[in-house]
Amino acid sequence: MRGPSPLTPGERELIAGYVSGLNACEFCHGAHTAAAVAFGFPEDLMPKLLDNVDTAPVPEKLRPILKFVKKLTLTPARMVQADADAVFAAGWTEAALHHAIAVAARYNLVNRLIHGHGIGANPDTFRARGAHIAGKTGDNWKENESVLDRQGQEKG
Amino acid sequence: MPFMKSLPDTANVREIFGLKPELRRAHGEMGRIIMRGDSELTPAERETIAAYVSRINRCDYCYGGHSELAKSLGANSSIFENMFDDVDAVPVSEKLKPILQFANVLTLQPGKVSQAHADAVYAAGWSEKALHDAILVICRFNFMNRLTLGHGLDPAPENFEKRAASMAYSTGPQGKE
Repeated sequence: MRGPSPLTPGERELIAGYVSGLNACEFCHGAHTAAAVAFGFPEDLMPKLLDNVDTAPVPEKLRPILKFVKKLTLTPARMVQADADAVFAAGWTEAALHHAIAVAARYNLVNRLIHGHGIGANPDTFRARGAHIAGKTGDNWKENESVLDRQGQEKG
Repeated sequence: MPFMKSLPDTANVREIFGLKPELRRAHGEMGRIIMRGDSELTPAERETIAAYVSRINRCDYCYGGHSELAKSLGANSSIFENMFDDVDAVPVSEKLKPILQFANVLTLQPGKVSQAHADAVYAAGWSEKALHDAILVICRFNFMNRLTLGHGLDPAPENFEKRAASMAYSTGPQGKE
């Protein structure tokens, strides 16, 4: 998510938030959407993206990547060369597509880790967690742990 | 046929990780922990879950390698001759069925997993730790399936057994290479 990449950290967070939304993972969706916003994407973009990836006001260059990760998330076995070619035609390299696939695959893992353990979302913490993930404030890891601990205690 | 010219026609997972070598080590380490670390689930059971997830995601590449690997670890080959989406039709032990049911929902409808799905696993005699271990396998293969399908790898059925034998963590219980 933060290593050298043709995709900016903000673009990777947008993909993470989008994939998480498609997988109905409120926990990841909330936090990574907030991180994308902290990196400069408009706050009202994500709902529009989830509503319609073809018409959402994203930079045109990014649209084929978002369409690729949507398909890879919802119907992974239907990927074809044309999906990749649309990404390349927008000016991205093979390395960029590889990075986008890695991010999408990662959130298909993480969303299921959250769903599988029945972890719910607390919208009050999204903005703070997003800012932490984006590296805009202090120690994110500690905060995440405390959120999980709190939820565990409430449940118990 | 891979979607990228930088991958050969015969590309495998190793070559995908060749695009980002630092990820290969992290991924291998994660694999040894999830697939071969201490668990109530035997390596054969974990490979059976891996094959089932790959089957319902229609990832022939991963299904081929991991079904062969499961068989080589002692899983009954009839399981893979009858690996249908419908868990009831898969001839696995009654104990493993609720775990495959859990895998089905978490893979195909991740937002629909409920306490009842977890309770069915516990009712079959598994601990919370075992369910956690199963979830990790399910998550890993939802990642792997998309990594291979996203890059357009050729399933190459003639290589299933060879791939199963060459998996880095498949050579011993401690994952020694």
